[in-house]
Amino acid sequence: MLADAIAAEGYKLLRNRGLLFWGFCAAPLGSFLFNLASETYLFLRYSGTGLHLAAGGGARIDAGQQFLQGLFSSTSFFFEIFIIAGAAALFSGEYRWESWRLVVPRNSRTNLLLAKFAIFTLAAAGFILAFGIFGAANAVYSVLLNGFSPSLAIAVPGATGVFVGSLAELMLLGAFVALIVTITRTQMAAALAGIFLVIVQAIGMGIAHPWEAPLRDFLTLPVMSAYLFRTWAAGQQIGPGVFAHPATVLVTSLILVLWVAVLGVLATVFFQRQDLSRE
Amino acid sequence: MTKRFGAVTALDRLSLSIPQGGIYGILGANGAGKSTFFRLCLDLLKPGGGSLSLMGGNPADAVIRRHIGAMIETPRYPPFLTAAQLLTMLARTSGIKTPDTGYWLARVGLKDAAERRVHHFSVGMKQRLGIAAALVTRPQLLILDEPTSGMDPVGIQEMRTLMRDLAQRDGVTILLSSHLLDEVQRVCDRVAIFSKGKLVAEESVDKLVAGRERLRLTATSRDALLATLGTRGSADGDGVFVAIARAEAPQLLRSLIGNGIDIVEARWVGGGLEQYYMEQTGTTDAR
Repeated sequence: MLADAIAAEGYKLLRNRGLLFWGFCAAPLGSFLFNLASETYLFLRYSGTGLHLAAGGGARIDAGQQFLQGLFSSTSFFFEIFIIAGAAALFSGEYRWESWRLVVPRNSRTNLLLAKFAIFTLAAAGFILAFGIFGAANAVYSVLLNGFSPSLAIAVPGATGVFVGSLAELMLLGAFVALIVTITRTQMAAALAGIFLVIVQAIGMGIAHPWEAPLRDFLTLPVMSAYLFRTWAAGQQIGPGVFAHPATVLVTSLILVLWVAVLGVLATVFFQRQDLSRE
Repeated sequence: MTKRFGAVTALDRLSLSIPQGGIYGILGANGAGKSTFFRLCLDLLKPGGGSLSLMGGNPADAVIRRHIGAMIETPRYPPFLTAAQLLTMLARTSGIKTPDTGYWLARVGLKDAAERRVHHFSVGMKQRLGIAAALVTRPQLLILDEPTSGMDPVGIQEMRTLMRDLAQRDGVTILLSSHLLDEVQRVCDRVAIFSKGKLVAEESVDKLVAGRERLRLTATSRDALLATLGTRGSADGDGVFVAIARAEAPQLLRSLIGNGIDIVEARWVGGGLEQYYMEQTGTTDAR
């Protein structure tokens, strides 16, 4: 029955082109087009002036690194606004259209909410991958435009880790938005609460410093756990000359998973008991 | 069952048993508890007390609910879907991968609108689509809350035929709520009347209607007519009600004419469900 609910939710999302585009496609596509335009402008502006990057020759551009960078940038604040808005629209659809009465008799409430979460997770995964692929495409464009030496070296485990870390962060936002939607039954409140959460987490990370933060800070800042996981997976420093310890990464990752689970369970329990006399 | 919304008691120790098969009407004024009862049947609301069993199971169980089709009030839909897509999406939620959407849309008169977005549908078309959505999974129990609201007379007649057809040919049990008492009288086999969350009456339509008609006579002289009828007549405006059986009417009319009473009009009134409803709910408004 869960598979039925997921199939129906996916069918619906694929036909909701506004939500599909603005929630999950506009940000990576916009970022890609902006980078293309910037690259082209720089080429046209500085080509033949001696300031052009390719003039020196021997410059290399690594499409693999750009792919990884793309995965990272999918969780930047500006782009997360799109995913939060998308999650809010996805989870609030049945309240907005007063259509719970159409679907609730056909499947269990738990399945219906889980299906929304599953489809959101799939869309979020596509969102992250699109950033990575468009990042690599931008690199290829640079190679063609500027005559850079191409390079494609993707460390698959690292890229997978960054992808998983980014996805976990977006799932956290999705679960939070789902909870707010079920409580308030409105899209706007959930979107604003999601943006507020991201801002609070960013400020908290700025104060706590991931490389020296005690475990209790990770308990209250789950986004920092996702950041720690991503940087560790990519083999990058989390602070000046500091690399994350695997044990710390493991514990903080569990905290992140726990956050997602608790938010998801709370949303499900609340929805399970909710009266739908008026959506 | 009991269901409260804050200080308001929507259902007050309601106890009701509905037979399988046929069309069962549920009547009551606005706020009588009809929609609350339907929503409890569909697990859209959680009962505050008591228990509910449908087709041998608890409607909180999604497996039981999959045997139920429902249209609650004027339905609304995701605006970006076409009629056919809506039925497909709903059928998939129920576990049916290839529903016969064309058949059901044709059955409710929306064949030509199958590929139109529901956003552009009129109220009547939305009602028809709601009925198709309720039927697309071929349910054993169909719950229809004001199914003909917003429909034109032709549509109402088509829906009446469809309901009778579903009940008689397909063996579907239909729970119907409507404010159109004449409509209910025409299609329902039994009715229950709710008032303030309580069941005030429950009976077969035939029994309710039988023996409740009265003959209303209008004559050139009401007083002369009353004097002739004696205790059998009672004044009603410019006319007179006569308490007799249908079989006695020809004899009575002959007798009156023979006594020089000029009859202007003779008709049977008030024998329908409406009169019974008024008596049970103590209202003058069927709504």
